[in-house]
Amino acid sequence: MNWNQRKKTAAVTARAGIASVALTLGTLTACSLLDKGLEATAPDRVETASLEKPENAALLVNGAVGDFECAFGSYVVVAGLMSGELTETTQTASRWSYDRRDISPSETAYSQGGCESIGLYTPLSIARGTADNILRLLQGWTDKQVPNRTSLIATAAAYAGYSRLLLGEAFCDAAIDVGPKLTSVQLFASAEERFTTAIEAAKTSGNKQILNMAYVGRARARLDQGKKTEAVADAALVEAGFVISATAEDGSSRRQNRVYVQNNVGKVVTVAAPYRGLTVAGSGGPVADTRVPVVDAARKASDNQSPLFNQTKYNSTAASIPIASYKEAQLIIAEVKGGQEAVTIINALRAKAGLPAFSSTDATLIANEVIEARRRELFLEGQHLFDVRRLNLPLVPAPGLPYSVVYLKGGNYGTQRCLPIPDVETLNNPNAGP
Amino acid sequence: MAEFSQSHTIAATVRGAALRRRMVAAFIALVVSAVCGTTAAAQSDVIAGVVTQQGGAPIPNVQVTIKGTRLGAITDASGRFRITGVTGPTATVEARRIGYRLTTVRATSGDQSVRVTLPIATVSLDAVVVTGQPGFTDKRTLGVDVAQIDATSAVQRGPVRDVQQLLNGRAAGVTILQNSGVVGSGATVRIRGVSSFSLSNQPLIYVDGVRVDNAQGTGPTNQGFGASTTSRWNDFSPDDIETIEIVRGPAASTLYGTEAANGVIQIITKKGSQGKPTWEFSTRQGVNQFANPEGRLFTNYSRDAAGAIQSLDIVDRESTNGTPIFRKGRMQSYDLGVGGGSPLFRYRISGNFQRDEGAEATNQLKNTGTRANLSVFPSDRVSVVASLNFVQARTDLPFEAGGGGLTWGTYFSSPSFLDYREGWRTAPPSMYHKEYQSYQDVGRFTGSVELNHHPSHWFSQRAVIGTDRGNEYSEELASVHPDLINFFGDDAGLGYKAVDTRDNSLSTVNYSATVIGSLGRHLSSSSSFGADFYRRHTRFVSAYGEVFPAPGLTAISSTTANRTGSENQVQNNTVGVFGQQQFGWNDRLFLTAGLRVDNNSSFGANFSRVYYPKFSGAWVVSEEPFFHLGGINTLKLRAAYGQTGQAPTPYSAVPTFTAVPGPGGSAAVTPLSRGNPNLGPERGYETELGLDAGFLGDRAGIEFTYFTGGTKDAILAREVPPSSGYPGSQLINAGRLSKRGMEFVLRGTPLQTSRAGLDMSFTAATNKSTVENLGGADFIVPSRYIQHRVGFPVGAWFEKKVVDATLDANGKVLAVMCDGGPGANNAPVPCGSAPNVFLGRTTPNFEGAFSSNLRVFSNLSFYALVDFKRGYSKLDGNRRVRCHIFIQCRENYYPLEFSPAIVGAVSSSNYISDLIQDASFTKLREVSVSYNLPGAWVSRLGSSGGSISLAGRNLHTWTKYKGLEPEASFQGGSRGFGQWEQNVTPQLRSFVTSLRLTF
Repeated sequence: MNWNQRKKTAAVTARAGIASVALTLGTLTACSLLDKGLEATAPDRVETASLEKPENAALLVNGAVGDFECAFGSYVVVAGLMSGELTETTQTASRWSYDRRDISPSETAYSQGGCESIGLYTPLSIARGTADNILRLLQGWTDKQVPNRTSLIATAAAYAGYSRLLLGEAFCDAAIDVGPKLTSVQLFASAEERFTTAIEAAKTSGNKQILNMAYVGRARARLDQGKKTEAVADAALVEAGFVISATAEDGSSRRQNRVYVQNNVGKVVTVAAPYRGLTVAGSGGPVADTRVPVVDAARKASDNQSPLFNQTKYNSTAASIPIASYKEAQLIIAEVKGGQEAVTIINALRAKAGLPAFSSTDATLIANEVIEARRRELFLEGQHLFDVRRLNLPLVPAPGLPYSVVYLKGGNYGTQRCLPIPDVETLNNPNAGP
Repeated sequence: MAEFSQSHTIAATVRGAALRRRMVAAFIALVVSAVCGTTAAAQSDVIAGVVTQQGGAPIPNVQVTIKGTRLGAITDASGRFRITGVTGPTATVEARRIGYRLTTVRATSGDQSVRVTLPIATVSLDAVVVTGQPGFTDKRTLGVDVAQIDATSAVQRGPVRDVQQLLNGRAAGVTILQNSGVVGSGATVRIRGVSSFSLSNQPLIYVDGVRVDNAQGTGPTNQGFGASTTSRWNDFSPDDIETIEIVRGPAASTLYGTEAANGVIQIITKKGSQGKPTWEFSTRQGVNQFANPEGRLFTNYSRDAAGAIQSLDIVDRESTNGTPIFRKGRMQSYDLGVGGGSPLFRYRISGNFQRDEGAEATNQLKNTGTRANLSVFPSDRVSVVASLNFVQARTDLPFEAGGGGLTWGTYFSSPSFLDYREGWRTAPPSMYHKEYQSYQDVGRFTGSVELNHHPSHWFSQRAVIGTDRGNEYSEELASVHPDLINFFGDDAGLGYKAVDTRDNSLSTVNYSATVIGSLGRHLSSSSSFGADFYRRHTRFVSAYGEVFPAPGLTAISSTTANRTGSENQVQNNTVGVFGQQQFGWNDRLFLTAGLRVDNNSSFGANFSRVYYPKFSGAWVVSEEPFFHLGGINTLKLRAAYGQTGQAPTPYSAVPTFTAVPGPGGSAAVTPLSRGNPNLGPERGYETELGLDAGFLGDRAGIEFTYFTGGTKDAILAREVPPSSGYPGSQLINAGRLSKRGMEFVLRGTPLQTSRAGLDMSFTAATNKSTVENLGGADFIVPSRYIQHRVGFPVGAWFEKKVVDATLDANGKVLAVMCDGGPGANNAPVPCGSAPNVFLGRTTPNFEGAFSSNLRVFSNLSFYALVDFKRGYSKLDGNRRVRCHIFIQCRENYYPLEFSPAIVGAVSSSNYISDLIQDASFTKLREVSVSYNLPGAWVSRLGSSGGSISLAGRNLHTWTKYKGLEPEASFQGGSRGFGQWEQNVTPQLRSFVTSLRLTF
């Protein structure tokens, strides 16, 4: 290499050095700016940590009640389909399993569907989770931090109890808080605990509505466990005329009466044949049973094949659905006590509905009439599904018949009386494995 | 742009004042050019001529430059070019185009009849690549393979109407999974198979250096189940595209950083060239049709009231009655462009109009686009290139698949509906068309400004700033038609309307700089660094209302029930810096190392920035003195390793609640997402090995690439156990998948004479994606019947497999037996206790294409493209609906004609094993004949050149798939991961004539 070449090489090397320094400085500067400009707005959501504060207690309780009410609407439709109150009338095969009573744990519609699309396990679990969560937070906060804290505790506990109760009634097994599989009886027991908490808090705070709700809930949970005497004791404490409902409003799909939306608006379910044209025997002949108001819409349902029968118990998307009532409490007493005490209760309820009285001295006939009274008085209130299971009532249509009774859709009617715990729980919950 | 890749030797220093003076001069020149339409066309220092193939056929769009300067031009449709401003008595003319060998000739200044003959290149190391590197780079320096598609040729040869058709079969490893034959719909595009379990598998798209919206399924959910079919890829006119470059995997896309794990597609649009204005006009006229519906659609069965079996072939009936169900949709497009310029300013401005009608009466795409590419050269060291594109389009969509519509009514017609419905399911087509409308309007602007600055021969820098803004308006309307209540229920009597807008904005800011140097006689160095910022912001507004009080009212404000509305925004930002060092040895051995550092707004609070390294080497071994292998005249070996990533879904790291209406109108909140503060990006990694070789004087060439890698920290959408109180899924970095495969390209020119030429190309690619780890789980379920299961292909079909059934004498099913799975040595077990077993892959693992172009004399060409996809299965949802759900197949009524396993399978809608079928196919995709019009003919039109062509598309399919069409399925939604066909419009056959003229 001659001198000129060396000089040239040196110059190039110097330039390369300068460039390297510039490169390094540039890179460092850029690195220092790396974290800038990453702020991204999210106007449709709020972080959980910033929400769970005492000043938001009422908001969170509202959320828990809203979650339950939406889940409950879905529950009433699902329970109706599975227990034979309603019949599926869509061309969407993924919806048919409720009606056919052959749900597989891998199906997503019942396990992961939302309350607006008649999902069940997830909406009930969310409702349970939000109620339990705010109950836990309220119990950790003070009265100074949260006005009406005890009343809010009563509300949260009562709705947490109902979520657990319905999980137990609908599912053969279910899990809570990513825990182990719980049987229905275990779920009823846990619901009873929540209702007890609610009763204590409602008494302290003077919240009569929640107190009555918790009495009915605990009576139902105890009846479901076979604790009949305790159930009657609670039911007897319910004030006459009491009713608490899942409220509904127009405008938001989430808040609408799900039965009315599915049957009267969407026409995707129809009232099942055993509930059409029901009558009560009277001295002058059969009298239309006003407790099961159903009309023939004289048209086809959504599938263009099934005849559409509309319920008119709920007459708008804003109609409320009873969650707990004095009527239910009375029927619990009637079922447990039987005999003429049951007849009295049946007739009181019939009289209120403007129906002829029932009379019998045959214990079996009376017991059957109580069951029938429950079927009719509590029509489309989410009660009949567990009655079918609890009382081992016949499945209608009968298992093994081709699905469906109107036209062939494939498969046969199944034997399920409760829903299996879904795969989404057992596969993702390490404590509830298959 | 490419001029600057040739101008690294310019050594003069620029001073600010001189730069400003030149910019003023450039602006004046711009105005003069625009007004006068020509600049300096009469100069004597001109070199002009024609570029042809060896047989004399002109080659358009060749980049012709005067070597050592930035002077240049692009040939017109007649192959002609004209360069002014040449200094010196002679000059070296370089001609360069994808697919041809770089050719140089000496020319005398003033010579206007220069003739450059370009041999077809079967392997080219001199092509310039703009993708994946800080600046423009010769392919010889790359340790990876970057595929290039000559869009101009593809558009001229075949009936290509959108970018996806342009990609199909023209680049190894790029999979185009067509979803619907509906005009305006889009395909699913994947590069090297599946890279992610839970995030998008779509490649990024850049247009002239700016990241753009790559949505493949937007607009009305006309397929139902959340599946929309409109593709934003349709917004770019193939007529405006010069080349498409494809960076396939992490080894090549490292510098693109987070979000580039699925590869990158770079669209480079046509630019103006120096010279007088050249006008180009083209038009296409043709038809789209549903090929052979009479032979393809179904005969459906039912029983009448007396129990007798009856059948209906509604397509046959309608054809016999002279009322065919599907129409021949007209295709038409017009494209007009003008380009030209001076040494200071160049332009290309174009406008196009496209109107394509589908096979269904309500299906139509209308697209009007304008593009302006403006280049200003204020000095030898500075260039500013602005690319501006605006498109306005309307897509009228028919409902199909889960959305119902004509295909629903037709495919699932039944003799049990021979009442007022005349056999159609739900309603006759005319009733559907009367009752429902669905369309999308879009206005989209894509613009970029690119500044190149070369202050010295050893330093260059480039900045790109750009935006892509699209405003979509999607509408679904059911008008008030009380007379249709019998068909559609109260929808028809009361009506409803849903409107969704999606305003999408992507911003790109990119800076890169390169320092080159010579470290001695043999060693060169190239150091690059840069930074970029990407921002994606999408605003959604929706409104809905039901019940119009009277016919004619169609505004949501006129509805009287269930009126709802919503608004939301989603934002994601990425900031990254990168550096790269390359050393070259004697211009034939190149070693490169690079690093990119990224942060992204979707990363969790506990996750800091991410680092992506890359290393590569390229060795042009055939240029080594010792290389003497008979028959091989070009050989380049390459190897690379790189990483890149993909950011999580926005906001998925944070546990959140969302607002909902509460009881009695109160405010309330409900859980939305469980979040994961440790969430980070997926990390794609890949090693790529390959070679490029030319044989027999480069008359044959191959490109071979082997890749192996995968994705670690793969994000899994682990379903949240509902008992936690949260809905949906939680993203976690817990998965790992592996990928490997090969890509092979063979090009040959077996015949090259003055009378005829034949060039052929064969591409083939394999890919194998395997689930390696799922964070401890055996499998996860991304969508119905699909599992990601350890040890199996990513996203595979899994369900019970019916293997036998017991039938009584009448064919009634008494018991159904299924595959007992590996645990039972696959012995039959009652289906009730059978496990789900592997039923097939969902994406092809072997695909390719064969194309050939035969030139006869200098003006007649015959072209054909055949492509194939193999090794995957799809779900025949038509059969599912017909046989399993609506019970209207022959199997349901004549069971004794079929095997017990088939009868058992159709006995329940819970069995699908008979629906999962091998969907491998080979398709005669394109055939065309082109004729270059004689000069005497075109001159009568005042034209300087032109061509006509006749082409056909989707002409024949060879397949064992028993469903309607291997290339028809849901586009995403809840049916999305696997190909699932259900009353989807098949790919349409089209015939097109085209005319191109240059003035």
